[in-house]
Amino acid sequence: MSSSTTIGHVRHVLSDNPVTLLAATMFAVFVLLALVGPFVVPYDPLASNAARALQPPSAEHWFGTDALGRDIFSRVIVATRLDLSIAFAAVLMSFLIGMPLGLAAGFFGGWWERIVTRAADTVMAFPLFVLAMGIVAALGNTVGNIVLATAIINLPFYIRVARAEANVRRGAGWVEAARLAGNGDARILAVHLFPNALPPAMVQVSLNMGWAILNAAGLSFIGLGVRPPEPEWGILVAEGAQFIVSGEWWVSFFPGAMLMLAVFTFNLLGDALRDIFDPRRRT
Amino acid sequence: MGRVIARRLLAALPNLFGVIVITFLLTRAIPGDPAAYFAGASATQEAVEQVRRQLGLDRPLPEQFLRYVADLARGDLGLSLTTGQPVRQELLARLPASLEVVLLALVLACAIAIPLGVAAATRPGSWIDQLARLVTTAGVSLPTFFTGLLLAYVFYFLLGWAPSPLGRLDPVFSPPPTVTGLYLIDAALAGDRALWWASFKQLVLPVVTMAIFVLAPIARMTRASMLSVLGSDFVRTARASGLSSSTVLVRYALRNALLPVVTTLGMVFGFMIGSSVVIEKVFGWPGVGSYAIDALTASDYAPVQGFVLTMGLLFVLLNLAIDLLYVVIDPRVKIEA
Amino acid sequence: MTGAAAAAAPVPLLDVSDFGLEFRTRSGTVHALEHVNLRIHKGEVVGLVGESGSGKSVLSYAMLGISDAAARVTGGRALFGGLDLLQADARTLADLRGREISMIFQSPRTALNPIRTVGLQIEDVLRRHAARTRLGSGTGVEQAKGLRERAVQALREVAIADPERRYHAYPFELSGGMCQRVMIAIALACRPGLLIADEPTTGLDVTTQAAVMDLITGLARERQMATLFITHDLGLAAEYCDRIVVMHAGHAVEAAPARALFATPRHPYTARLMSSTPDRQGTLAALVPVPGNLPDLRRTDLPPCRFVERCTRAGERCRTAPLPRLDAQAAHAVACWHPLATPAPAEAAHHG
Repeated sequence: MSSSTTIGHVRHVLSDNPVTLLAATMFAVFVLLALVGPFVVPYDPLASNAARALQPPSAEHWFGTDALGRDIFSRVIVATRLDLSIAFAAVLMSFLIGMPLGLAAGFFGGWWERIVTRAADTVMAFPLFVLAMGIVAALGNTVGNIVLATAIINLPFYIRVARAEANVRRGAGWVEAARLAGNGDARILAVHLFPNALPPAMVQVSLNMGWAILNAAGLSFIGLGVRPPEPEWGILVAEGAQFIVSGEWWVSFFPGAMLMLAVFTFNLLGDALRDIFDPRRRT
Repeated sequence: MGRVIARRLLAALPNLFGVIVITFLLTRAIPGDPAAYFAGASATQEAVEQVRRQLGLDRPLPEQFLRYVADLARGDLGLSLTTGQPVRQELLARLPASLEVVLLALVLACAIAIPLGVAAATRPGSWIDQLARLVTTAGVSLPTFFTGLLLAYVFYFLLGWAPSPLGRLDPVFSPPPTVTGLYLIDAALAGDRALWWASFKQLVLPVVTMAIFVLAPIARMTRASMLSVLGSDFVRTARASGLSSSTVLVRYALRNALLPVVTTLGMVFGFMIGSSVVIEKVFGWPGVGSYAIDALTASDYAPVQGFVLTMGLLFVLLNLAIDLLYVVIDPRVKIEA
Repeated sequence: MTGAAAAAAPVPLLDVSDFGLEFRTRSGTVHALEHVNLRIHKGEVVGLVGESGSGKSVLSYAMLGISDAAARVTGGRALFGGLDLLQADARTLADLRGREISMIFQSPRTALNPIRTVGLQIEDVLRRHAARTRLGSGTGVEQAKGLRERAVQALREVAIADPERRYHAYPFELSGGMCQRVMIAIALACRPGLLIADEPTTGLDVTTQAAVMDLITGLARERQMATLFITHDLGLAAEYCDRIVVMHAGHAVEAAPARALFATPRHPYTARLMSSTPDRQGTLAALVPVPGNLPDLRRTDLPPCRFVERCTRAGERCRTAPLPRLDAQAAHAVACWHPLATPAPAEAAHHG
């Protein structure tokens, strides 16, 4: 695939579909916020001020203040870094472990394939959020374990994608040719099969990012992982939950809306990537 | 047919086994001393040793595993530190509360999503189609806890239509005599209209929250499947034979289109079980999810383990049930022997 | 035509005149059919032959009213027993389909509902047209039994062995040939006057092909049913059809009795079709393919004769003057300025 046609194709998809352009822009904004957020926020996210507790959105505090008088806008923006980092780390881990496992399973077949498939199926036999709860509960209530748990429950997706690709190409003529030319199996896997499996994996990565953010926020909401006063979207929503019934809606609303926007962005991006790489599967 | 069913049953066994193995490993993966964990933070060294012997934690791992399986077979899931009650008993007592929400949410979601998907497929490009696409894209992005809170704010605080999200029943009422554990059924059986209505009102918000969450995959699958079926050869033959459009739509198109939707339900159940944990926290619902969360916060490990195990087993059995249902409704499956 | 001759000429069952159809698509308007004239008489087997994309299937879908949503009729009439099919409302057409005009398709396995028994599929059609097909009165049970018997009988009529047992079969349990028989049973259950068979033998092996064609033509003869046999296989058309209409790129270019068509084709396209069709006597080397491709029907500058760019006999008139209409009443009609058996323009100029 020459780079010129890929770029041309990407440009075509972007111009053809304004929603995709929107998703790409939103993605860029989130990444930007994650990188520079802590430096540009108006207030210190951890600075409490009891006198100004639970104030509705105003010119001074765009998103209002929470029970401890902290500026919610600053906390929501700063939380971007943590949420995106957790999701990114988890997905990266899944990818780096799952892809080689899946490729090897699909390529070599035999009992190796059976073991890997069985392991993936067993993970999928659980409701994934429940499994994540169990893992974090067992290993300890830390951010690192949130990442690990999210990575584990996402592994099967990458294993399956990689295995499917490797299976299809295992018998291909050019693989045989490469082998005959003296390429070792590892080299074939890394240099030839891996790039071919990349496009569907990229779609999976984007969709998984959204799912990983939701997962991490959900776990934090129920008290696992990130602890207060560290700002993270799930925790922020949890902090505001008790005030919903007394009408202070902003404490939960803004972090929740931000969370939703982030997940939405990654889902749209995933759909766009799918359109670029596999137009047959457009819904 | 019997052979196909038997094969399905056999295929579920490794998953059941896998669930048991993983939950076992999780208990032994605890950093530090598992015995101390189970004994509790305030236990003395003696108590910890006693727990260690009691739970067989001083034995080699394979032997521990066999003891674990033997305990499971007897239904022994350990004791809760905070309440002192057997975990199994507490889980069973709370399971109907969770089930009531899950089942009602599934029915509600299907009642909306399937017609929506069908309408979107039969009128491509129309506003219904756009709405369906919006629902499916937005639905998968919504965090359940957020939706739940929003709904509580709008319908309880702002509009006053829904009752306070504080559990299954307003404290004024006492629960109906237990027959199934599902309040709507039990209240109906007891003939208590006021109680039935009170239970229903408390159920609305949690059920709607969960239904919104699962609308998306069901609607998406129905629409895609229906689109595919409507363009198929046999639908064209049915039309060419002059069959009425309702016959073509329901008897020919929909029945075929629903088959993949049934298999989607398995995945949907997984999402629902996961989201029920969060929903129970938001609405103070006394189900198995909130039981596990409370135990987690108190570092009470046995209930959490029991919860993960039970949900895992339940999920495998649910998927098996769906598999078997599929065998019954699709005649082509017979040839898989 | 004199009064006596007019009285002697039988009224056609289906009389299509000047029929045009286009599709509105995102990449332009496809001028699928133009000025098509076609006649089928009662009991006649008419073959509609042409390459893929020549509009054969599109024409039949339009007759039945099951065209794609993007289709638009641009003109003409299609008279069927006094009713103009192109003007009729959806309800009337739905009543006609399966009862007066039926259609069978290729790939019989996928053309039947995979999760419904074949017996029930036949009953669906019987029940739909019940009022007109004299199902008779009686209780629900008696009616159900009557329906079932008729379905079994329909299976028997298409030479399916052991029809009572096959009644309960699903399509995937039957062979391709049997599925085609079932489709024929469904189509003929209500004794239609016209059967449209769209490539019914494609995908079947040669022996089954012959059996299916024999079945169709046998039943047609028995019931005096007209048949429109759509195919790209000239050999089959030659063997089973009374008359053949040749289509090219949405135009009907030649119509003649089968034997006459093969003996003396008049349209250059017909001649080229024949010389590109293998037959027993010839060799592979003797085959002459038709050069070029079908023109893109989305072009706005389509010439009046759509074969002109591939034709060796094309003259000036062919590119500019509207194509002569196919005379549906003539025995051997051709829509061409320089048909074979007349001099080509170059020769005409030479002989001046």
